[in-house]
Amino acid sequence: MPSEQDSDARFEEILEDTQLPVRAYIAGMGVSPDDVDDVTQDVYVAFYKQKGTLPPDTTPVQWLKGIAKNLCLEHFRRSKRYGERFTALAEILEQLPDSQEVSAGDDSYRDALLHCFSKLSDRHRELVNLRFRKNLPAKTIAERVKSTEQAVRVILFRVRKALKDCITREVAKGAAG
Amino acid sequence: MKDALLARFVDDRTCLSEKELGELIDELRSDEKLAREVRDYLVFDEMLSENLREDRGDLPAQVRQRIRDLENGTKSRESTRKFAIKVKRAAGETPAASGVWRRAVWGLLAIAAGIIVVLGVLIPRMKDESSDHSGILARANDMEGNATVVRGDKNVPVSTSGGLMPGDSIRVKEGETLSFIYVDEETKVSLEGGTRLRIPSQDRGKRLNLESGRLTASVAKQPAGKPFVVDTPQAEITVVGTRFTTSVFSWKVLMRLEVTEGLVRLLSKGDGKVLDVGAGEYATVMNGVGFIGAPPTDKLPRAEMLREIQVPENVGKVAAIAIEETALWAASAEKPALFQLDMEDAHVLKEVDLSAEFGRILSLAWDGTHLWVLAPAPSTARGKGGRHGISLAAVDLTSGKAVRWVDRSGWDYLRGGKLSLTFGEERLWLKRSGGMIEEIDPAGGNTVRSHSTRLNGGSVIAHGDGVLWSHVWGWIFRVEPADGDLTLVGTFPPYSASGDMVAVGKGLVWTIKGKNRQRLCLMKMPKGD
Repeated sequence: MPSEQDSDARFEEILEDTQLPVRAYIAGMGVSPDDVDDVTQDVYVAFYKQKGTLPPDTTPVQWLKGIAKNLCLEHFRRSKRYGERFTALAEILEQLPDSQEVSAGDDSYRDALLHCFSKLSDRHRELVNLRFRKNLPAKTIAERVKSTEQAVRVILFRVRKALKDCITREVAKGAAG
Repeated sequence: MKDALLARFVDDRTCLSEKELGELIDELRSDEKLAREVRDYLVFDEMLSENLREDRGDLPAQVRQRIRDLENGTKSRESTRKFAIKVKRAAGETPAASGVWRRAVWGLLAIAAGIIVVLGVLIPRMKDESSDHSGILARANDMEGNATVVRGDKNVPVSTSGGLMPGDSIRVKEGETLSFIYVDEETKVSLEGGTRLRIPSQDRGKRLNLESGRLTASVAKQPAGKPFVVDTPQAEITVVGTRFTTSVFSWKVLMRLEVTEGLVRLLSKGDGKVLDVGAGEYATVMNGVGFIGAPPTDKLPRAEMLREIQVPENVGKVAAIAIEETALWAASAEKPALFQLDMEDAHVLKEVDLSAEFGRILSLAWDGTHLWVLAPAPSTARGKGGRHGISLAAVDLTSGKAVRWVDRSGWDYLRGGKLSLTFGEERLWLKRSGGMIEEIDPAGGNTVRSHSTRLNGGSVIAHGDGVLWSHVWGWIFRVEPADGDLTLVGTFPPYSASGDMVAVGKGLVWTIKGKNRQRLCLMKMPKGD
């Protein structure tokens, strides 16, 4: 039987090591970006209540994803707005094979993001900054850049695609040498 | 599916009508490729937020607070949210979605801290904005191109702005320049292309927020107690009656300050340290590291890649490496095992199973006789001493069992970035959280000396040629253990160094390459002098 200190130390270790993949998993279930941290906290609190114990032959990430799945579904069921629809959506996304995305905390990923970001045009860089760095909604961005909300969303979608493709390419280039 | 619908959903999960959401679900149910694409975009957004978002909370800290609340029977989450939303509304700001503040889960202490911080930030800001149009602060005197000012909701050319005021944000595009002179004194500021500058409240003296770009200022003598300050993401620069030049590189990573006349006081936000920079001197501040003396980054010498080898599949990703004379030792990141590799073609000479002692390996060091393994304290060690922390163990390379243990207890060892181990001068060097380096006597296990350095949490160390090297994010530093100073000596080529590094003498190091960490590189280090 591990001591309380052992459990706490193990919990801390798992928390530090797994937060990025757990966050990514929750985001990939369709949880809104502003709720991702809340649900992620709930996952770790639930795990803590289990005294951080893991069944044999289960990795921490696998176990936490199991908790996260249930909490995401519960989060959607509780939602007053189209809870049933979002639950259905999460069930579809959850059944997909694991994503091959690299870790956001990976040095290579950060380098690639930096490189690809610098390749964007001034206007696109500004949009990414406003959307992701400042966390502004499309409506506010549209007002700032004198455009429409829908146009901003469409451009941001294209920029996302370009950035995503560029990063995938750069990371692969780095990995292949 | 129309791209527009997908674009709307990816950007804001709450903006679709129920009918549109139903259509999306039907499409995803019948098209797995599309479903994967959508899921990848959702995950990608999370990664962008993780790397870019300015107000991203510290999740582990939030979880710890939740647990403390849980154990104390305190439930502050909902009330904290409501409080935060009220404050946000009072400030007239519109969050990206109604739930934006829900992430802030603070305990009672954090609420108190929050009040202080939020008031500290918002009151000056509201005052600042209310006094936006109270008077012209400076006027443009020279410009090329069409620099603009964002004033409230409007974007106006500097040329027709009537002058610059507190609250203005100035943008100078690439290829353009702008100079302005303060109306009440002979202080001149010049901005180069690609610069973004905000003029905040001037209540406490003249102040400029340089978000990115390059600013040159010739500053007149200021009234007592109201210094001229340039605030940058990395450092705060206080001018002590002088002419100075400062550059801020974008991406919030590096800032370089050059002083041509007088004296400038530099406060590094990363470590809170202060440095006075005099005429003809320069200083560089790196985010999270603090001060580093360095030549301009664009002229930094690069390490040269001499050779790279692919490790065999059964090794998997490499977590750590060490050198034993003519062979490389690699610790797998996927299982507790060591592999002795041939340096020429990386074929496996020997495999050592460490599963009896360790769960995973963080770093390695060869002391001439033993291979030392740095790992989270294994349950066997903790069982004996009731410890949580890390263990250093000299392992028998035949049995995989530890023949000598050096344990270090404490939470700090498991937090605060990468742990790194190297051997030199008959000592084990352990880099731990907060840039602290311990010199450990391998025979007795006692700490001979501790050094407080300015190393970043993500950095690793390697001892070689009598020098302690470090690298982080591709930058290579020489560490001066005596005073903790770092000297930036060059950079690694992109993707050639990720994580552990080991020095082999004669200016050579082995690094683990790139994302998949299955290639090792032999690099010639740049000369630092």
